[in-house]
Amino acid sequence: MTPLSWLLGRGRVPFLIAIAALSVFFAVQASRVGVERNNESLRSEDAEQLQNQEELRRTFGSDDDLLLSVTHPRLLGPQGLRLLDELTRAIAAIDGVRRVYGLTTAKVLVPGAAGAEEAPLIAPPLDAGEVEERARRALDENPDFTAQLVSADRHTAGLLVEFEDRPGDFRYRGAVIDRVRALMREKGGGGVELHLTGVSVQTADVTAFIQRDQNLLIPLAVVVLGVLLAVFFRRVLGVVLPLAVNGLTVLWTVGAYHFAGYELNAITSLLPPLLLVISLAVGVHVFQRWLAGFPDIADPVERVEAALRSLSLPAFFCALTTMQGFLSLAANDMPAVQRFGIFAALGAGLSFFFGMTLMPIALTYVRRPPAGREVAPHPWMMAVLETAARISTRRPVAVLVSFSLLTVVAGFGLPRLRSNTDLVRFLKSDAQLYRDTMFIDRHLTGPLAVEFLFSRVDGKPLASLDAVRRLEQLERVVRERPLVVTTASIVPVLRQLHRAESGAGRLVLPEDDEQVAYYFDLLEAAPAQDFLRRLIASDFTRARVSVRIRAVGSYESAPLVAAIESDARRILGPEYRFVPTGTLYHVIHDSDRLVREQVESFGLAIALVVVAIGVLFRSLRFTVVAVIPNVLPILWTFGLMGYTGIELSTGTAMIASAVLGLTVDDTIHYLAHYRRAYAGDSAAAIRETTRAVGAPVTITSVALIFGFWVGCFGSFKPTVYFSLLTGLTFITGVVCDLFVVPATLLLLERASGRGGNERAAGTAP
Amino acid sequence: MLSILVFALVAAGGTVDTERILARGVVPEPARRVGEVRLIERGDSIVVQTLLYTKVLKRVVGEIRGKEERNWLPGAPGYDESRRFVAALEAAREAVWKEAARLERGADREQCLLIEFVAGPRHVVTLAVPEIDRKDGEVRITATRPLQSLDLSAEYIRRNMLLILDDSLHLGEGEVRQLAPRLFEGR
Repeated sequence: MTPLSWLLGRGRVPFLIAIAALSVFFAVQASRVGVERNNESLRSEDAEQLQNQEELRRTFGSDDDLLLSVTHPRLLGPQGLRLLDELTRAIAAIDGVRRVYGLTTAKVLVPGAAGAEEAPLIAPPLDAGEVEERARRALDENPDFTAQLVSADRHTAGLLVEFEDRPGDFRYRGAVIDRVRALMREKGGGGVELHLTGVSVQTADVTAFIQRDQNLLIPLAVVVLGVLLAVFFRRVLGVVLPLAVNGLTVLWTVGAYHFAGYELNAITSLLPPLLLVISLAVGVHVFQRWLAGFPDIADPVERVEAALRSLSLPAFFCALTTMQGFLSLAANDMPAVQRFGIFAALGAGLSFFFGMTLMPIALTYVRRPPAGREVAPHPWMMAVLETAARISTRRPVAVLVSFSLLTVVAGFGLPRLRSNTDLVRFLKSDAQLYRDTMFIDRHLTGPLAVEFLFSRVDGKPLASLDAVRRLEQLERVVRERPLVVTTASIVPVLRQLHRAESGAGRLVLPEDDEQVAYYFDLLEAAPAQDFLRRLIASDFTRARVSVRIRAVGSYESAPLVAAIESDARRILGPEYRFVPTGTLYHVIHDSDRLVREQVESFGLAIALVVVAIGVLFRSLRFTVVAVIPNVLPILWTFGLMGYTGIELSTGTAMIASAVLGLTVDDTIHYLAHYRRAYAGDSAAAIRETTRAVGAPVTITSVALIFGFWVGCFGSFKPTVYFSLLTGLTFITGVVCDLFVVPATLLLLERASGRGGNERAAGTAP
Repeated sequence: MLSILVFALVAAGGTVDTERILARGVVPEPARRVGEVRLIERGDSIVVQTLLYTKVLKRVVGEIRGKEERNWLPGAPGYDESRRFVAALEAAREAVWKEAARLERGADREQCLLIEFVAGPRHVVTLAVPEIDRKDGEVRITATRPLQSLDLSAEYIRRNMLLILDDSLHLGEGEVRQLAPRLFEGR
C-alpha cells in the first residue's frame, strides 16, 4: 500500500483528527495575534543606524514628540493666550505626558541682579489688555521661537508635547493621543483650529487602520473568492473545499506567526488577505482535475488518486516557486519584510499540503458528479480560450512582435520610476493625520524633523568658541535650503545667555573662549536641566541639532540629508562629527535600502525560479519559455508605474518578488500539460493544452486578481497600489500564458525543425 | 538661590582640630551643589563658614551681592559694612577667577572661595582661597590662603550670620540660640 493509498483509505480518520487538533492550537494562537504599537520591525537592523538612534534616545530622549497647532484669530490677545494656557495645562496633566512646551510656558534669559536669569517669554498677566503688544515685542526680540512655537504671521502657535519615558510600554502613548484629540474636539470651533501630528500619532493611526483593514479585508476576500468559486464551479463543494483549504492556511500561518512572538504591522497585515488568495490555486486545480478529468475511472478513491498523481509534480513546483518568490524577501534588512516573506512562504507551503491532503481526503467521501455539460467550463470561457489558441498558433510572430513592442514601451517608463517612502502621503487624503500634518506644514513649521548628533572626533567637550561658531554657521547654511523650515540647537540658548549676561542687546555669540567656557559652566549649574538635556549632553560632548523640514517623502529628504552632511563636512571640518539619526532618518534610510534590496531579492527570486523550473522540466528551452513570459508582466507593471507616477515604496517594492512566484505557477501547469499532450504537432498540443489547462489557469488567475483587488479597499495607499498593481500583473500574466507561451513554443519548434520523433526520444521541447 | 538641605548636628564626628561643626548643609541643593554652609564653634568664637567650590563663582557672588543689597538698605545701619564686604568679595572672586582662567581648556575650572563671618572676641569677615579634598562624599579644607580680612561691626556680623543660617540651613534664631548660645552673649 502506497502512502497515498493509506492516506486516502485507512489513514483518513487519524489524519483528520491530527489536523483538527493542530488547527485548534493554531486557531487559539491566531486569535491572540496583536498589532504592533511601535515601528521597531519596520526599521532595518543596520548596526550603525541602531547605535546612533540609541545614542540619541539615551542622551536626549525620544524624538517622537507630539506637535499640536492652535490657530486663533487673535492668538496673542487675551483670549488666544488663555486658550493656549488652558490647553497647555490640560495636556500637561495627562498621565504619560512629561512636559508641554508652548508660548505660555516658554522662558527666555534676561539680565538679572546676579547675571542671566529665566523669565517668561510673555510676562503675566496674560489677560491684560496690552498683552498682545507685549507678546509681539517679545517674539520680535526672540526670533528663534518663530517656526518653532509660533508661526511667522502670529496666528498659529505650536505646543510641543513630550512623552514620559516608559521603556517597553507603547500603549500609554495611544491613550495620550486620544485624550489630546478629545481636547481638540472640545476646544475647536468658533474660529479656532487645532491640528495634531507626530510620529506617535502616525503609529497610533496606522495601528487603528491595520485593525480596521483586518476586520474589513479578510471577510471581503472570503466573500469575493466564494462568489468567484460559485460562478466557476456552480456547486457547493467547489466553494466550500477550496475555502476550507484557504481558511486552514490562514489559521495555521497566522497562528504560527503569533507563536513565533510577532505582531502584525503595516506590512505583515497584508498576510491574511494575501494567504486567502494565494492558497486558492492548489485547491482549485485539484477540484477541477477531479471534477473534469478521468471520466473512465469509477472508483472515487482511484479517481482522486489519479487526479493527485497528474497534479502532484506541477503543483509541488508551483508551490515551490511561490515559496521561493516570497522567501527571497527574507534577504531584506527590514524585519517586517523578512517576516512577511517567510510567513507568506510558509502559507504557500501549507496551502500545498492542505490542497494535496485534506481536499483529496474530503473528495473520497463524495460521489463524482456525472460527466457532461455540468462539469464543462463556461462556454464563454471556452470561446476565449479557443480564440487565444487560434491566434497564438496562426499568428505567433505577430503575437511576439506585439508583446515585444509593448515591452519596449514599458521599458521607457522604467527610468521614470522613483523610489519614495512618504509616511504622510501613505495615508489617504481624507485621513485626519494627513490633513493635520499638511495644515501644520502650511501654517506653522515643518512637521518632520531630521536629528543630527554633533560631537568632536576626539570626544572632548564642545564648550569652545570654535565649536559653537561653526555650529552657528552650519545652521545658517542649512536653513537656507528650500525644504528646511528651521533648526533647533544649543546655539540660540548661548546667544540668549550672552545677551543677558553682557547686556549687549543683540542675539550674538560671545567673542572669546573664556566667555563661552563660562556660559557652559552656567548651563551646567542651571536649574532648567530637563530642557537643556534635550539639546546637549550633561558633559557637553554631544549636542543635538533638529532640522525641521517640509512634509516630503524620502525621494526629496534623502538628498537633503546628504546635502546637509556635505555642508557639515565643509563647515565643521575633520575635527567634528555630524551624524544624521532619528525616527524620520531611519525611515528615509530604510526605504531607499528596502528598494535596493528588493531589486536584489527579485534577482534572487528569478534565479531560484529558474533553477526550480530547470529541475522540473530538465529543458533549457522550457525554462526560458517559462521565465520570460513571467518577467514581462512585472516589467510592464513597473513601466506603468513610471508613466503614471506611482512610486516605489515599502509596499509597492514587494510586488515583483511576490508576483513572480505566483504567475509562474500557471506557466508550469501549462507547460506540464503541453509536454504530456505533445505528439509531434506543437499547434495541436497547444490547442489541447489551452482547452484543458486554460480553464483552471483562468479561474485561479481571476480569483487571484479579484482577491488581490480586495486590498484596494485598504487604508494605506501602498496597500492599495500593491493590490491594484499585483492584480493587474496577474491579468497580463494570464495574457502572456495564453499568447506568449504558446507562440514561443510554436516558433521554437519551427526554428528547431523538429518533427514527431522528439517525444519518443524524450527530447520534446 | 541658596536654599539648603540641613544635616544633623555633628558632635565628635564633626570635630576638626579645635573646631566643632554645629550644623552644616549644601547650597543650594544636592543636585546643584555650589558649596556648603557650616555653623562652627572655634575656640571661643562662633563662625558661619561659607565654603564655595563651583565653576560659576561669579554668579554665586552675584547672588550674594543681591542678598546683601536686599538685606542692607541704603541709609540703614550696616549698609556701609555691607558695601565693604561686597567690594572685598568681588575682589576676591576676581582674584580666584584670574587663577582659573590660566588653566587650559578642559581642565577643572572649579573655583574655590572661603567666606567666614566670625563672632567672638573679635568680629571679623575673612576671605581666603581654600584647598579642599573630597573623600567619601565629604569635602574637607586642607589648607587656606588668606586674601582679605575685614573688621566689621558686631551687629552687622551677627545679623548677617543669622540671615545666612536662616537662608541656607533654615535655622531660625531660636534654633541657633540652642546650637550656639555664645553667639548671643553680650547682646
